[in-house]
Amino acid sequence: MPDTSNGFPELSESISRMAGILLSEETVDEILQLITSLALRTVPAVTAGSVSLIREDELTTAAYSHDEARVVDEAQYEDKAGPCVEATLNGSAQYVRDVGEAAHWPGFKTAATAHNFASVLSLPLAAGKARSGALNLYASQADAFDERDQEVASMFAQQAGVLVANAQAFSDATQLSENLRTALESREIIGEAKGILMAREQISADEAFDVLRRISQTTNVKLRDVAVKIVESTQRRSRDGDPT
Amino acid sequence: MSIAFDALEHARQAAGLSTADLWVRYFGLGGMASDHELIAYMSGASQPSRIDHDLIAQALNEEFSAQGRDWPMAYTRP
Repeated sequence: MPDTSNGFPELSESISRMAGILLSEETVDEILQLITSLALRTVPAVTAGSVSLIREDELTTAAYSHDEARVVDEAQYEDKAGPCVEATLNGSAQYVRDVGEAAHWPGFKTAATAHNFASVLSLPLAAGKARSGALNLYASQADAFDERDQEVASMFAQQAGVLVANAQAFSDATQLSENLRTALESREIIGEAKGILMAREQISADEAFDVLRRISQTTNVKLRDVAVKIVESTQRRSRDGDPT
Repeated sequence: MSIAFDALEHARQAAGLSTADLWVRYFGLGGMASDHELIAYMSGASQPSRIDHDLIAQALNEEFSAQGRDWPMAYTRP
């Protein structure tokens, strides 16, 4: 990896600010906001910026510097066409040097022209193979991005991609620990019900499971809920003085 | 008796459950095998015990049922 830290002091500073943070969705949006405004400050040609993300299978604008950027993004989502859609779906940088010539993306062209954007650079956010969205930079001049600008912008997009991937890992881990807690509760109540059946019917643990899953299947009730009923009815009976 | 392990893996995919999700549910039903063992069962690399097979079948059937589908997975006993 080339050492660009001397060439782009603001970028390396912003990257170190992003390092080591694990994130909720709200935090992600805030940091994407930060990345967007840093990209704006670092690439002088840019007049507005935004980050498009795939959330629940839909493209959405998670952060933006100016409302105009969000509006032009949304025109593209509506048409499912335009540089930010293309960058997200195909994972390749899209540079529209002159919006006036983007006749193949009419919705985008109309919206961008209406908001005085003359060139647009959309860069895929990618971490590994997964595609998550795009960093979109809008400029009022045509052909506003030179090679160095494109290089700097793509580094911001990479960082944003890593950030979004981290956030996804965080959300997966949170979901997993919640599911595990539910599984532990279910396991405990099923264990209790099996113990009751074993004592009452003089059967093995495996046979007790067979009993539960047969009831579950014939009544179309989850095995866990069958177990709850057995435990509850046993508690009632013992409260009412029945020794079984 | 040989149990069709392909059927388990096929059903897992049809149910749209990841192996991790399936393991959590299997564990919730009282399963004792580790996630690595479950992966080995699903790939056919090792054979689950009778009860492990039925626990996996139960986890899959509950998911199918939640999706409004039938109980397609057979158990090792009636």
